[in-house]
Amino acid sequence: MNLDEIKNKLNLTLLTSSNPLNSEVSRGYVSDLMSDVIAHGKEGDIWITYQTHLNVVAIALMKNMAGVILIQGRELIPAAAEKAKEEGLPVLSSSKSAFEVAGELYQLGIPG
Amino acid sequence: MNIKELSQVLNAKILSNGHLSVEIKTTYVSDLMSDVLTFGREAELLVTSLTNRQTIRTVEMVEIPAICYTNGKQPDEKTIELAKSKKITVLATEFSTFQVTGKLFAAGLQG
Amino acid sequence: MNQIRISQSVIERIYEIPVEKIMRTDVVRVSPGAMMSELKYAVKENNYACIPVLEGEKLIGQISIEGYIDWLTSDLGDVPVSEIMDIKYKTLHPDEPVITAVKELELIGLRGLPVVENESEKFLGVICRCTMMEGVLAELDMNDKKEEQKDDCLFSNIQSSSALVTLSYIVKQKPLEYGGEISSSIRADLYKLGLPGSIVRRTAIAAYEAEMNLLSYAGGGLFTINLNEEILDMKIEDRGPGIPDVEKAMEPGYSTAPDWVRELGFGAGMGLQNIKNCSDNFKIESRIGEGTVLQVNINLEDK
Repeated sequence: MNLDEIKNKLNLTLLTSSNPLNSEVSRGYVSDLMSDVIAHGKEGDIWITYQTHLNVVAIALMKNMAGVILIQGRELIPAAAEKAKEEGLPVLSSSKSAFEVAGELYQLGIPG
Repeated sequence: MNIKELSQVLNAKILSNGHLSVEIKTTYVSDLMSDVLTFGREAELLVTSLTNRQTIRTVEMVEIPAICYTNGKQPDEKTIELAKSKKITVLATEFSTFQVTGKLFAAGLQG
Repeated sequence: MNQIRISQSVIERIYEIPVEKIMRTDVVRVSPGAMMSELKYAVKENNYACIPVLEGEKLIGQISIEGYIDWLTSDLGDVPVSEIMDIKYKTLHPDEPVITAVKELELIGLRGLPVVENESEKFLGVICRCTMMEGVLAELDMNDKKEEQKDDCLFSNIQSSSALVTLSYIVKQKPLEYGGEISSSIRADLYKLGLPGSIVRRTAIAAYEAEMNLLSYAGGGLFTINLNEEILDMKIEDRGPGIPDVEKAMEPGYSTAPDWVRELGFGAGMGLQNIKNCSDNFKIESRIGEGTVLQVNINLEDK
């Protein structure tokens, strides 16, 4: 499933990239711990997190992730938003909790 | 869902028996204790991949009776001891936070 | 300073008022066989002063609020009152002037003293700091001037004891992983004092965030909780480096936390905001090189 379908099905708001959201999502990942994501994040992941600082963008780019979903209506801090735009990293936002976002993705058949 | 059913759904080991009669209805997923510590947070289960003593202290303060550690992470003995002394149920599973959340969501729990 | 605004004649009259005129007679009494765990109601009902222990009508001991708190924080478990009660304590007689009671309370630093009949030691009532003022004013028919009297030196000691229970806790510098021990004690103590869950939860959350801050940045600090019937007032003081920009530190997401703090699940820049959100009234004062004081007020009565 690609990011655009996920955005529509989960009713997400796109915060950054205006690129076509056609990257394929291979796996869902939930974490707020940077060390954890550095160790276990993978290419093609959609990363669900509460964190909004610059490291989120840096790590998502480093791991070549499909995108990031911020929960509970969170927004990136300005420096992070800037970086994400520059590098074309799709960052989306949901008003729902991590539990609901991850749950709905799982229901769509995204593996974990 | 009770603790026993929960441990079956998540294929989780029970490391500390708190109040076994707890009925899990609402789950909160986070690795940020300050996020969990928000006043008004009502849940019976915290799902996290953080396994330190602070997780036990946090659920103690917000009165969440059970905690499930994910990603195959094991808390140390002291953390388990603390949980036991506070009557907090502790489970540990090999599944990732995403997988745990997905399974609980599918089982009808709320978030 | 406004040393004494009260006229000389009033002071003379205070000297003259006998204890029996202003003592509380409706206090809860207990028997020596009662269990400590049963005293929660009595503690509150008696204005956190003292709980007389009676055999028949005779006073044989008392549980002071200090003694009660010592017991709460001890490992003794639930024991009969007779094992905890003070048997050596000062009593007042009904015909003694109020000023004697004031002196005694100040001297011993207690919140209340029992009043007994001169010979028989029959229990008559309790003089407690917090109701003494009302009693004196009623007696002097000065109730309407009550507010004005607040600044007056003569009464300052009494007024300042409008805090009925004071709990203090020292947070010693320890590895961050031990953070929460003090908050856990605070939480347990507040429950034992009979406070409702919603109040205790808010206090515990604020205390825990503050405790983690003390350990992360300040090398420890001090918690003081003053409780009266309306407000829980928690003060958290440290002698740490101080916060350079308090306004900025209050912004959600702003954090100077190093990664090792973040990896413990803290330091995401939510702590102070979290503490504020738990408070009905929140104050923060910080001076570089001197330290930081947080004040958290929580109203005990639901609005």
